[in-house]
Amino acid sequence: MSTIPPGTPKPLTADQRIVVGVADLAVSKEPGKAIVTYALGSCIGVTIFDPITKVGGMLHFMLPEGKTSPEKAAANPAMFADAGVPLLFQKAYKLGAERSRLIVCAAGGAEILAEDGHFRIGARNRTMLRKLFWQNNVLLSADDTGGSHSRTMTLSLANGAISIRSQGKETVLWAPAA
Amino acid sequence: MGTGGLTDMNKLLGGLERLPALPATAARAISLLSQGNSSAAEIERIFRADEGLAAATLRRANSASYANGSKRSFGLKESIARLGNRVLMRLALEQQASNTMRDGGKSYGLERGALWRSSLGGAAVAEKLAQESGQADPDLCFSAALLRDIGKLAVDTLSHGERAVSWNSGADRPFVDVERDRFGADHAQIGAFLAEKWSMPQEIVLAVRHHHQPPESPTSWICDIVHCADCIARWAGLGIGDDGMCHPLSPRARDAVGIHRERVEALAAYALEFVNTIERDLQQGAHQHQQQRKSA
Repeated sequence: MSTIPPGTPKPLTADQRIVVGVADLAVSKEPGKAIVTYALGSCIGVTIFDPITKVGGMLHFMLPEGKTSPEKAAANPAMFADAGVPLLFQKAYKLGAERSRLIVCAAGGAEILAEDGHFRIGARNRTMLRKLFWQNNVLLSADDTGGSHSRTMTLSLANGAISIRSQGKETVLWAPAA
Repeated sequence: MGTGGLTDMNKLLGGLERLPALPATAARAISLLSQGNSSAAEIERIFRADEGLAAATLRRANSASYANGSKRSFGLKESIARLGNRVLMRLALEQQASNTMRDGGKSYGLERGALWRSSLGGAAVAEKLAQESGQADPDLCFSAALLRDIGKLAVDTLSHGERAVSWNSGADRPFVDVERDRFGADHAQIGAFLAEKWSMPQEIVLAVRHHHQPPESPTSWICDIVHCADCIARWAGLGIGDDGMCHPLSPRARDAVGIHRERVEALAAYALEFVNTIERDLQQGAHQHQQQRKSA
């Protein structure tokens, strides 16, 4: 992860932002836009991007498994990693993304400060995501997870670059090779 | 500085042009309801003047849990008499505090509406935890959790637009400590001061004051419940600002309330769903209102 150099493009206007809320997902192939999710705590933001078709997507899931609230998982799969991640991929495929080309990133999964290991919701979210990816032979290109701080994650649909804003600093999590 | 340090708090907040305040209807209703000897006719007059509040009161009084199988429906006057002060106070806050809180939390980097959503989500969880424990009044817990972050409204003004992220040295430590270093008081202490000014019952003032650090001795159910609800709302992704997850959970309160991982996950999902449902209803209500105005 490197600090964003001077001369970085101006902040996005409201029209250019596709905002993903908690337990929400979005896919798009409008290169002038960016997909943003604000304030990830223990939740995790997952992004996928196909650099050829420029199809990108983002999921902001809250909990690892839908089995704790089956009706809610049926009504809103994006709330859970095990239901939301497959849905994110399927929606991106429908827009023309190809699995072998996908760049996959993740951010969030923070823990309540000084938590004594009783709940570890952030860690369980991280573990479930890794398990899903491992089972499906998906490799994470980059991730920024853990700690106790919030993160805002932005996916540029122009080139797939991912930036993370946390503790007042913006950093690039992933960017295409120059 | 505790809530007892009123002189200090007056000094801290005295320089503010205006203290955060509830809308007039809610302020008047709370003031009457907390007096105990309030006039039913006066409360009815206030509730009748607010369409949303009157409708919510009727809905609650005629709900299965209050109507006791009665086939007839209750009017507003009867509804007010049946519900009691704690429920009426909760309804007044639920219906009206959004106007005060919607823009709050800017200094913490919260988007518009995020503080209110987090307040509502925590309130819904606190109500559930109170019902499950049977140790505290669910409506009182709802109100206390709904108001737990009102101190952030005053912090927004005190910080003069400076973001919370710049108050910290970057070290991982409880965010209330960061606030105390920066302002001489944290948002929970400031919130309790405001709750007192707003004539809230003492239990609510205390729960606001201790929502990040529930008292160890003597312990208090409402404080423990509101504290746990605050953490669960955070796990639901609600109200996450520059303070992130830097509010530790008290293991003693956790064990007292008896929450375990699966329950916490189900409650986090419930909190988000509760908030989304209320927002959807509000949008639909606003839409219907617009349609009615057009056709009128």
